[in-house]
Amino acid sequence: MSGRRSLRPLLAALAAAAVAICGVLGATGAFAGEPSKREKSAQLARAAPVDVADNSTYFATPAEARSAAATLAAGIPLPAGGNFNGIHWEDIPDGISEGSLLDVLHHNAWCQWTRALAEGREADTARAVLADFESWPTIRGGVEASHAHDVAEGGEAFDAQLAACRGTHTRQVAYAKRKGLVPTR
Amino acid sequence: MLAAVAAAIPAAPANALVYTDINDFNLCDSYITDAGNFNTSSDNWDHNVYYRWLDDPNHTTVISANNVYDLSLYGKTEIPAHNTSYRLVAWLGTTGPYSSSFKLRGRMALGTGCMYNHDGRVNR
Repeated sequence: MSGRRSLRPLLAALAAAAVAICGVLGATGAFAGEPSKREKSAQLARAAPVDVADNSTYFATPAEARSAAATLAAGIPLPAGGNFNGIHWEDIPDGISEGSLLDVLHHNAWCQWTRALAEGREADTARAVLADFESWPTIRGGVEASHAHDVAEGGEAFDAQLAACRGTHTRQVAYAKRKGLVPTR
Repeated sequence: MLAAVAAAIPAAPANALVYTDINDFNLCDSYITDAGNFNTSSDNWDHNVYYRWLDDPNHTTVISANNVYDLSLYGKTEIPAHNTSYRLVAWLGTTGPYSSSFKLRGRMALGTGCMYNHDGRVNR
């Protein structure tokens, strides 16, 4: 009995530490074995190339596309408060291929991290993701890869990208609200 | 299939545009094919996007341009069969010396099946 009683402070300390660790992991997106945001970005940089013109997997309606996006979003890092709710799936009534859909999600995430860096949110992670982006599977080897590289380097390319991203963010917030969804940060 | 009508290019749109050929743009009426992402030329202050077929299209086709970040529709055009002239696809919603990104997509008109290995040109 006395031995059990003596363990109480240790157990309490372990429980407190577990709560603290869970809080940190939750904040970094690395909860319960989920890869961190940097790990997700690095995984994408190593992923197989994506052919946007390959229609073998096709989401024929906006509802199917939105649902697929919700699933595929799990592998794409976003800043805290970020989501894909503002993408105009209803503007593609005839559907979209899986590769093309991924391409949109990747570009959308790129913009979210660009704005995050400009606003000083998760800056270290944002820099890492922006540096990886030229190697993500929908960008790697394509015409946009060099621009993505320049954006990660900062300067005029970053400023131009930020302007485009702020424009689309305004549009996405309004669209998500019209759909009754939580807008992305 | 290489364009047999390249010599018959109509008058280019007035702006200082750049073009990219899209080879073997395979379209069907049951789905849309993504031709890739493009940026407007920094000299294209009007931010208009034009498209033409280089190979004679057998049927009516629909070409559209969407924002690459949020998919909002910039515009689309229906190109009649056998038309190889430039068509205005979209105005990208801004003016000035900025480059805008868009995703070019295409499909056949409903009920016309598929069209394979036709080349087109996007001018922007």
